[in-house]
This record gives sequence, structure tokens and C-alpha cells, in this order.
Amino acid sequence: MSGPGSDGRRVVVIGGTSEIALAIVGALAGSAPRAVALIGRDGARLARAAAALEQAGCDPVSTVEADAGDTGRHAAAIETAFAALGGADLVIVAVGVLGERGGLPHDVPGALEVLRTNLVGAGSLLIEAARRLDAQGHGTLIVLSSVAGERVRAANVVYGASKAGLDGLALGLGDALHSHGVRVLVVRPGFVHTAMTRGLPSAPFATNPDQVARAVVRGLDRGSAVVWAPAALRWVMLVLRSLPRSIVRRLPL
Amino acid sequence: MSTASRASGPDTTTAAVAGSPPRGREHTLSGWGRVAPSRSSVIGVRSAQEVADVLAAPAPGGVIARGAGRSYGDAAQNAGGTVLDLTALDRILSIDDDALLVRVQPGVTYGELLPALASRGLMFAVVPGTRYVTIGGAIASDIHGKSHHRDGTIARHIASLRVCTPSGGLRELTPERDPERFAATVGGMGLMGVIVEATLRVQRLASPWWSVDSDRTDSLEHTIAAMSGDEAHRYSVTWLDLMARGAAIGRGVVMNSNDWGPLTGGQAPDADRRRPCTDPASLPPPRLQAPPHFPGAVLAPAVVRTFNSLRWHASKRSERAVPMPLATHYFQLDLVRDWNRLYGSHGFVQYQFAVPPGAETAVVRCVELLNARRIPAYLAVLKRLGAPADGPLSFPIEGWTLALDIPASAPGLRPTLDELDDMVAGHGGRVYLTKDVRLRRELLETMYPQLERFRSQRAGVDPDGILRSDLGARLGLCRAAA
Repeated sequence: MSGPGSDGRRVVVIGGTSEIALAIVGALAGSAPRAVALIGRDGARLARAAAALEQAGCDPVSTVEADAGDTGRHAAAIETAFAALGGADLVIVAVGVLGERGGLPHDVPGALEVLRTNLVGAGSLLIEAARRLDAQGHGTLIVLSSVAGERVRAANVVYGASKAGLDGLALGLGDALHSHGVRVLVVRPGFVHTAMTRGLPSAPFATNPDQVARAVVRGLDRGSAVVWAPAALRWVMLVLRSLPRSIVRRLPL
Repeated sequence: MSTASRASGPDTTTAAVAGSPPRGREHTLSGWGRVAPSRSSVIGVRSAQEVADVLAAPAPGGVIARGAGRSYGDAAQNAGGTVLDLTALDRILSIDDDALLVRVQPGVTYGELLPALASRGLMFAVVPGTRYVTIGGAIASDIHGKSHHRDGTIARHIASLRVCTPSGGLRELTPERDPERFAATVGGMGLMGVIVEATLRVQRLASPWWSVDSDRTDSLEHTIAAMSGDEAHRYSVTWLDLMARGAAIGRGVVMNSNDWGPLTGGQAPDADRRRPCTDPASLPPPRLQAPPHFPGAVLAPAVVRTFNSLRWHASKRSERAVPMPLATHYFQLDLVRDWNRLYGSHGFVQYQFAVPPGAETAVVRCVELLNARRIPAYLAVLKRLGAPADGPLSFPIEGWTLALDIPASAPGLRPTLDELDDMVAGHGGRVYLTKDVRLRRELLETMYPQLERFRSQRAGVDPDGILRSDLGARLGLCRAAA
């Protein structure tokens, strides 16, 4: 329960239509009412997400349209979201696309788009949100990374690399801002059944948004810096990280 | 002045240079439980006038006063706003032996006040479990001591206050002339103004010795029964062992005591001991110091279970009239300096609630629930409370109060405490705001039914909402941060 934990009443969601982010807000709303601001690209989908959160007892819920690629607008979008709530206690960063899987990308513009969205776009929004929390003197950032970012595998190079960059940025900011009252929780889920992964073959340790949300709430309350979902992945990845590269390269991952 | 009383937050500094206007320095502050830190601009003030100056021209983000930082939760911090560090206002201004009045600045701690009083044969009636709290903080929390059933809260022993408010500046406040505002200010969590001076009523002390009766109990039922009958003692407190297993859970040591009274022939009551106490009115510095920056928790369930068991077995089944000097009688918490560090970087939560007489089941149910959820309560203290004070936010109500120290990282702690809140509120009880860091705002009015009285007084002294704390914003007692 270090930091404000899961108690924070004012929640900003960056990537406001992300299933995992909305599941996290739903889990938070289960224990106490929350005021929410959703930042996202698609106005119609944002409105639907906002309606669903109002159903779940969130009040008020506001929406802000912004594109991860349009970094020039990020500061203003974050500002609008914070102003709507009168400040924020929790900020969820859930911006990401999967793109082409595999090793050497065939679709180079597509690969760059993944890096632009997942690393530059999400990173820009993360930095702007962190600046606001720093000025405010308290708050917690919840950053959706991935196990793919902890150890970039040949099966998913570009996505993994984008998440690795974001993961490092978030952890580093967490250390830099720790003495400023700002906390960062990095979330590393395994394969999650969502719209983003629909049609893909499931992987071992697959999970769903609700399970990720429960892990996040637990992590907030325990003051963790990193949570894995499912929790067992922590140990799997520990082993994977420790193995020599020559062996990992041959594994069917 | 004790240096330990200043080692409050992670870093509190009085950053003022003589002659220059007070300026803030950014600091991350938390309560004694080290949970929920936030960043504020801290201004070390050196006079009441400086407090008035800050309140007259506040920076955006609001202002709250802070003393030694010994309240457990987030009452004395103000994310993104200003915190007034009052620890430099630490002078005892006068002691009047005839009128039995002492006039102090708010940053004076009990550790400074009590020896000064005792050396003149005086004592203050309401004393907390640690000597490191300041008088200003004690008043803002309307604290109670082991003698609550006799002496009430600190409110009963205040002759007058000097308070600085945003609307009225510096003014005298007495319970006779302005009872409503006085009642809201004492226990007002600092949101009714900054206390810059207090005049307290003191009592004569025949000797700095106390006579302690203690009884060891075998179960929670036995403990409650042993505590229920006693009316013959001024002080009463019970240590509970909630780490014991099975039927032994809730066993403890019931300690009842009275003032020793005059010494016969000037002889100290422990003169026959091998190492008699040389100065019973002194408060020597603690011999043990918790290690700083220890990453993990020194305390683990097995360690505490063993310690508790040793402590319980080391207590005699029944002892009568054991003489204790000032430090041992009042301040057993102060044996280890900075003991909050023993909980590691995650900190700890103190959960303290009060329930009316007849609601002993709430105490039992709480112990059962924590046990069932495997949530360890390392330190547990049970007390009986007497008639309540008048303050709308004053915590004590007649009945029982249970205080529990729980490591903040205990899995499942938050939902369990939420459940306990509902149960406590259902019994007509409440939690202690000075200890709180997590209460749901929705329950505040149920627990404190006179909340409207507080709000209307607050609207009078602070119409623009300048006084602000994290606790106040969290519970809706003041406006949220901008």
C-alpha cells in the first residue's frame, strides 16, 4: 500500500479505448467511485468506452481526442484531461499497436509506425503525464509494457523493441521521480486475449484483461515497481534472461 | 531540543535565513507510516507573524501546518502546495506554578514539555504513547492518552489558543468565548487554522512515579473481560498479541496504573533495586536506533511472533504496584528510535477504530477477520475510552478503541480494511483520522455525524479554501488540488 496505492480517485487513461486499461479502471471502480478522463484517437469508440465506465459507476467521465502520432498535441491533451479532473492520482498509459510479427520486417513503413506509436508516441504522452504529476507533487503512472519488451525475441522483434524502449523509459522515470512523490508501475503482461491479439495463436501463460487488471490493483496496493500477468511469468522471464543467447536463439519462442 | 523529534519526514528542513521573507523548498513528505508520500513546498516559519504573512498571500495549492510529522497518515502534507514547518517554534514561553498554566509554542514536543514541567512538580494530564509529537499536532488531532476515561482528550485541558486563520488573521480562541469554533479547531486536522500558541492547564505532580498493576491474559475473551471491570485506575492500556495462533490470539498484558503519589521519606520506590532509576522525570534518548535506508522489512511475521511470545511469557501472571518512572510509564513506543523504518520501504498502516460500549463483538470480529485473511498485526493496543469531547472531528467516543500496526505490503490489506470500515461504521464507530491514509470518503459522514458542524465552522474561517492537506482533499474536507 505504498504511495496512494489503488485509492486514487482521479484516473487519466491514455489509450482510452484499450481493453486492458478499461479493465483496470473497472477493477478500481469496484472498490470506490472514480472520476475518469479518457484520452484516445477515435471519438466514437471513446464515447462508447465512457458510457461503459459510467455504467460501472465512474463519475464524471470525460473524453479527449488525441493521436499518439501527433506529438505536438500531447501536452495540450494531457492538460485538458488533468483540468477536467482537477488533477490526477492515477495515470494509465496504454498506447500500443502490434504490427507485423516476426524477425526482419518486410513492411518497413509499418515497422516504423509501430516504433512511432509504441515508443515515440507513448513515450511522449508518458513524459507529459510525468511532468504534470511531478508539478502536482504526487501520483502514480501505470505503464503497459509487455513481457516481449523484457527480452526481445526473434519472433516479435519490432513490437518487442518498442516495448523494451518504453519499459526502460518508464522504469527510469520511476527512479528519477521517486523522491518527488511520483510512482511508476510497469505492467508486463504475457499474451492477453484482446482485440489486438484476435486471430493470433494463443501462447503459454495467456491471460485476459480482467486478470491483468487484478494484478495491477494488487501491484498498486503493494507499492510494486513491476507486475507480471500472470505472476508466474516473472520467474519464466528470469530464467529466459539468464540463459545464454545461443540457447535462447534456438528455442521455439 | 531532541533531534529525533525533527527526524520526521524523509527530509524536513527549516530553510529560512534571518531577515529574508520565508521561502519554500521542495520536499517529499509522508506521515510516520511512510505510506503515500507527496511533494510540497516547505516553508520553515520562525514567528506567528510569518504564518500570518503566508496565509495572507498563499501560493496556489493551499497551505497546511506540519510539526514533527508523527501523525501516521497524510494529514500534514499538501501535494503541489505549501507546508508550514512549525518545528522552529519550539519554545516553552512561560510556566505559571500558581495558576497552573503553561504557555507554549506549537512546535514544543512532549519530550521537551514533560521534563520541564516535572522539574517544577507539574504534569500534563493527556500524554500520547510517544514523546516526539508536538503540542500543535496533538491539539489538531485532539489526542487522548491512557487516562481518557478520566481526563478526556487534550481539548479539556486547553485554556486558550492563538490561531491564525485565512479570514481573520491572528486571534485568541477560548472554549468560553467561542465554543463552536474552539470545538472545530481542536481535532480539526489543521484545516481550521494554524495554531501558533497554546495555553494549557497543568496539574500538580506529587512524584514522577507511577504505580502499575499488570495482568497477563490467555485469550481475547479473557482480555476483554479483564479490562471490563476496572474503575479504580486513572490509566489503562492493554497490549495484545495478535500474532499468537489458535485460541491464544488476543492474549495480552493488561496494564492499569495510578499516580504513585508523595514519596515516603523522600525515598524512590525502586531504591531497593540493583540499578535504581537516578532521575525518574528525565527522558533519556533511546538506546536503540533502527537502521536507516534498510530496503526490506526487518520485521517479518515469524520474527514478530517470536518476539511477542517472548514478551508475553516474560510478563508475570499478575503484578501489583510496580513503580515506573516517566519514560517507562508513558513512552514504551520510544524504546527504538525511528522504529517505523523497521517496516521497510513499503511502510506500515496504523488502523485505529473506536466502537461504543457493548460493541466488543466488533473488536473480536476484527481480530478474526485479520486472522482469517492472514494479515499480520504486529502491534495491537486495546483501550477503553470515556465520555467524548465536543469537537465534531474529535475521535474518541465512549467504548473501546483498537489500534493495529500492519505492514502496508500485506497482501489483501486494502479490501480487508474497507470491510472493517463498514463493520465499524455499522456499529456506530469510527476510524481515527490522524492515523488514516485510506478511508473511503463516502464513510466519513457516517463515522463523524457532526461533519456539517465542522464544515460550517470551516466556511467561516477559510471561505476561500486556502487551508488544504492531502487528507482533507482525499476525504472532501477541503478542496482538491488544482
